[in-house]
Amino acid sequence: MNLDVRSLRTFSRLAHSGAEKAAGSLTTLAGIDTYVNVTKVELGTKSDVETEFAERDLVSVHIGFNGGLDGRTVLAFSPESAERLVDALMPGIDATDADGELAASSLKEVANIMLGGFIDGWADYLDTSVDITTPTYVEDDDSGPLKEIEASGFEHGGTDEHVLVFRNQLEAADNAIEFDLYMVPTPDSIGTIVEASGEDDALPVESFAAFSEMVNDGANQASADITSMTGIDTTVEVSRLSFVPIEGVPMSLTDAVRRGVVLEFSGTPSGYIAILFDEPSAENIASSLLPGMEGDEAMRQSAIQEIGNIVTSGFLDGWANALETTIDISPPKHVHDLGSAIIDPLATDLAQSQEYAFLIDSTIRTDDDEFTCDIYALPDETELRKALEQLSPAA
Amino acid sequence: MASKVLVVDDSAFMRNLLKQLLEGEHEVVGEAENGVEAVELYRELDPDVVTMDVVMPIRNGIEATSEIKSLDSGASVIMCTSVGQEEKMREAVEAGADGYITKPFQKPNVLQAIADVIQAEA
Repeated sequence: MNLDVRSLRTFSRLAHSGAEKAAGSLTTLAGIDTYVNVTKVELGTKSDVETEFAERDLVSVHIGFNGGLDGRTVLAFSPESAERLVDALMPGIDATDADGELAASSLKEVANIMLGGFIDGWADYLDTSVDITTPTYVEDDDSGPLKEIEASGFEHGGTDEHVLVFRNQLEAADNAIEFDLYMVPTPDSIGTIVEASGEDDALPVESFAAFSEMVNDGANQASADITSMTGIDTTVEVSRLSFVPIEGVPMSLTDAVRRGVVLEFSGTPSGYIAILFDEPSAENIASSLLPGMEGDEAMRQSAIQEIGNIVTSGFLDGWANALETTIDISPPKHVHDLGSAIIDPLATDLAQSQEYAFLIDSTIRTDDDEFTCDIYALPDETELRKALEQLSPAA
Repeated sequence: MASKVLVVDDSAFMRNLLKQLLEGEHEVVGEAENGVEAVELYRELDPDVVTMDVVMPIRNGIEATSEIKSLDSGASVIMCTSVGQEEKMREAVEAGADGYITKPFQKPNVLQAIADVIQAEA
């Protein structure tokens, strides 16, 4: 299976357009103004997707599709969002009630209409027909969408097998209901879509998978560096490589306040990296690095800059070594703002030369969630393609 | 024997940390925030050892090492950086670095690196 940047653009446009149709369906059904927040095309491992479902305590509705395109779509809500949605559809019905068959039925119907509209866009693009299965409602899903896919005959290999996930965040206008719409096509179906996009110089998916593994290795090194410096025992929760319209990059970040550093890297690839901590985590880091120096704000800022510097090196050195090149890193710039506001100028700069961005997103945390560090890297699209070519098995 | 050490790093935190690690073992005779200051202070203080960060504004550590080595070929410079790229390490060696420690480091790593370069000098 091969992938290329033009195919990814096509995927992204189709997924976004399908998600807009789905949002329109919900507006019509429930009278709730709904819009598509961001559409991402992600290359992750099967275990990443399953971990996300296990950790987020999601209520979901699964629908399979087959014919011209095969795979699975999933509409996933937090229990609170599901409850609000059911309340909007049928006031007085409890979505979390174990006997709430009516609530489950209403969510299944919403998903049926939304996911059906989503799949229609892909079928139209491919000029083919795609059938959808009846919806399955799964409460507190800890098995993930892939189990259902396997049950319908879509065999994935081990947990490290890479899958393409189309992730759309939809949001009601009053922010009361948020949900994700996933589409996981089979590898053969991805090949069908790539073929339809007519790209001749597509790269084997193994190149993207190899890069994705490099990202994961970098995140693990960064986590080890944080632990070594601070004594805080951290692990990598997730690492993702996604393809996002450039205007969607800031929306991929939380609106909560973050503190950390931004650095520019140059080489192959060049780009930007942001190492961001939530405020309590930043305070924890400064205190563990500078015990008894709570009053020295300049020194605490310097400590956060330095750990950002070390984390960045840990993250990028593996890339440079694997690509047999050098990646230069600028001195760290301290940032303290809303997450989206921090990333916005970086995306704006890249927008001068590209419409879409590869967003690399890794989360490092402690088991008790008392410490969280997010790493966002935005490499230049053309240069990342060069790097991916180098990782191609044929190179 | 205590050596005179010049600490070069753009991070105030890292300079402070190195001073703490070296306290009682060696004498930190000066601190520089960038490569230009490092060269000036090297001329002025004539330290036994320089701990040199790589990524710094104004002039980076590899350029500063190269300049210090051209002033004094017997200078002992330990690159002290978070950059672990093999190519960067080669650049540091070509610039004349005598030792290399990677951040994050522990006190024994720093003391051992200083002992190694002093011993090599002797």
